[in-house]
This record gives sequence, C-alpha cells and structure tokens, in this order.
Amino acid sequence: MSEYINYDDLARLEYGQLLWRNPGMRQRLIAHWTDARHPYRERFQEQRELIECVLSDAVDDETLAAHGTSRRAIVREIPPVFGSFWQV
Amino acid sequence: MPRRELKHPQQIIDWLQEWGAVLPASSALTLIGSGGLLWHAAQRGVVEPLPENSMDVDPVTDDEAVARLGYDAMIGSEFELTHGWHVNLMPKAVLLELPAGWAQRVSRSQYGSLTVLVPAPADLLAPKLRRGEPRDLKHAAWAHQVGLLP
Repeated sequence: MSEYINYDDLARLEYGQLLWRNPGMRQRLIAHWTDARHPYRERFQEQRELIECVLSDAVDDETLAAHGTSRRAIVREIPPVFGSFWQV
Repeated sequence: MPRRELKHPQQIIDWLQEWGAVLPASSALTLIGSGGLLWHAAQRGVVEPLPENSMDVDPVTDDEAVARLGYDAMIGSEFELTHGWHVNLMPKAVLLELPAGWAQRVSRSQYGSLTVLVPAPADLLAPKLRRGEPRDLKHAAWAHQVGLLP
C-alpha cells in the first residue's frame, strides 16, 4: 500500500481481513459497524460496498480509482471497533 | 480492586497464561514494546516495576483466534475494565522497525496453546530510542537498571 504507513489503519486492514474470512466474525463486524451506538455507522453505510471488497481483498486499485477513491483512502474508511459495545 | 496500569512483569505472564488457557489450538503472537520488556523482566525474576505505566500491550499475530481475543480486549472492553490496560493489535509492518536480524535473536515461550515470541530487549528498545520520548528513555533506563541488557 505505497509508502504510506499509519499503523492504526494497517491494523484495521490486516485484522479486519483476517476476521472477515470467518462468516461469524464478518456478521459480528457488520452488526457492530451498523449499531446505533457506532458513531461512523452512516459513513460505513455510504462506503459499505467498497469497504467489504477491501476486507475481502477482492478489489484492485483500478476499480477503486473508478469509484473515485484509492486503497489508502478506503482503508481509512474501515470503521474502528469500540470495546465498550463489541462484546455480545 | 484491579490494577489500573501495566507495570509489573508478572502481569504479562498472567495475561499470557490466561490467553494460552482459552485458545483452542496452536497459535502464536509476537510481543513488542514495553510488554515485551516486561516479559523479559519476568524471565529474570525482576519485580521492579516499569516506570511510567504502560496502558496497553502490542502483539502482532496472523492467527485468527488470537486476533479475536485481541478484539475482545481492546480499549473500552471488559478486559480493560478488569485488567486496567488493554490490547492493541499491531500490523506486521511494525516489525520492520526492529533492527535487522531480530528474528534470529528472538525468545520463545509456550503458554498452553499459545506460542509467544519476544524480540531481544535491545531490539525492543531500538524503536523507543529512535523515538526518544521521555517515557521511552525511562523504559530504556529501567531495562539497563534491571539487567535486561548486557
């Protein structure tokens, strides 16, 4: 992902992709990111398709560019997980 | 009343034993940062607490089960409420900040199903010394004082 290094972003990408492979964890992440308590839920919904593609590692840079974004930018849109309401 | 800080070497061992006992299969993490220094201190029987409490530990893993535990232990979690500190999963790229050859100098230990890799104290300190913040320098001075470095 170019020379851009933001460890928080990279961690959300790496661990997001790791957990995304597990269908149960995928559903849990979606439920968390769309929870009414999540401050970025609307932002997530707006970018949901691309975020899910990035988490699935199923999108190339050209496709992202065609959507007017970049890998760096869309990775920043992966919402954080808040420990206060992550556990179910 | 649980501690509200991470500074005692035994706290790291207790945490690793806790995770090793609940992980279902062989898994692994690499522990960097002050948590790694505390681990080395525990191996040497050091009881001198780390100056400038740490608020978190920084593991790196490619193991899903470990990552799940890490998500359950992040800031604001029940884990943090009970332990007084949290887990901050770090990306693999952070290991590039360690000096070349660190993997040949790593220490390894087993906690139940969990294999823990900890870079050598000098390797853990290298990024801190580069950063050079007062807290980092205090951690380096403590590492010298308690005998983690030759």
